[in-house]
Amino acid sequence: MKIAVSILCILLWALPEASPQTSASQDHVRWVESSLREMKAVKVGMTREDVDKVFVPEGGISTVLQKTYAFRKCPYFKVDVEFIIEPGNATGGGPKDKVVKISRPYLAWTIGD
Amino acid sequence: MPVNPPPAPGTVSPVITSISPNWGSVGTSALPVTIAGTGFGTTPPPSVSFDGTGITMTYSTRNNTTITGTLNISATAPLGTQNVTVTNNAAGMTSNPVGFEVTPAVTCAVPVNFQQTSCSDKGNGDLHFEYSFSSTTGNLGDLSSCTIGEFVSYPGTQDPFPFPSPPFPPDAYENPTELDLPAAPGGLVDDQSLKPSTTFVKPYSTSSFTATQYYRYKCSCAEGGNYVNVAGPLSIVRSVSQSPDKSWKFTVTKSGCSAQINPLP
Repeated sequence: MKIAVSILCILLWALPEASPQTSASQDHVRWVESSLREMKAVKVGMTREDVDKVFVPEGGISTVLQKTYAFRKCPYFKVDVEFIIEPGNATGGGPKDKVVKISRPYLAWTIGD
Repeated sequence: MPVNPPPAPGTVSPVITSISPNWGSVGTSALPVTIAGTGFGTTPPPSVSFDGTGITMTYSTRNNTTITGTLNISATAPLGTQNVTVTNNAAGMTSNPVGFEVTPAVTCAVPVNFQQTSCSDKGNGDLHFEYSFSSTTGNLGDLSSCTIGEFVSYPGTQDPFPFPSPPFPPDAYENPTELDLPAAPGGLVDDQSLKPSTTFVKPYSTSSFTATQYYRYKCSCAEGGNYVNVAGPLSIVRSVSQSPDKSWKFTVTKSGCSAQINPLP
């Protein structure tokens, strides 16, 4: 089940209301902010090899046109990416396939199948 | 009147064990079909016959146990069941008949002939599979109302399923795993991978756990929009075991294929 990363951020932002925000939790927030910027830097029009610099392919099923990725620095941050096949590549799945759609980052358990 | 020569000594009568799919709609062209069995013969190649009218078959492969090809079912083919037989042309013997149903024209296409096309060890304990499927209409573009996916369950009801650690990495997988993708051309790949970590925990000991997997489709225009299994149950076995030289290894196995980390560090 997808859980928007933004919910996590809101919870972390709201933390001071419940208890004094510790240095450690502030560090967590900054780390999530930094990670979010890194993940959001992958945009439509980039290539599959660009995606691979920030994410690693998730386990489980996929097609050459659609694949779920996990953030390299935290495997519980995921994005779903759709591609178009690069011209001249009959089968697809090559490094120059272009991103046509990328989901907002979300949280989910690891898929290993 | 021609007379078939007597079968050679030891010749086994051809037997059809399955035909897939076992139905097709009138007006369908290039419908992929697979006939499995035994004793079909090879030289000269076996032939397939339908006892009705309006169905023709174009062969792709013909061997002693499998015949594949495509069917053209004319728009005027009579509705109902036709008997299919395979003739072993070397022995002059004909198989048991099996039914193939000609159905009215439909606009609802569903995936058929889901089959594994390859498997490989991708390293780091990742086991990679590739699958293909076709459409009942012969056109994958007709599957726009369908998804194809997997259902995988791990032992027990814990979600996520915790790996037995040690010796496995202290990780956990979503349990059950339910994934669906558009049933688009290009086939399906499936990776049995070790994530987030491939760091096994000492002390190593013999240990294993098994997941059960089904591949399935769902089409809004068929079966009330419910899931239909196309493969499974398949066992995905992950194990840590000791080799004869006393080193330890990780193995993941499915459908007779395996990947290893050998030896574990």
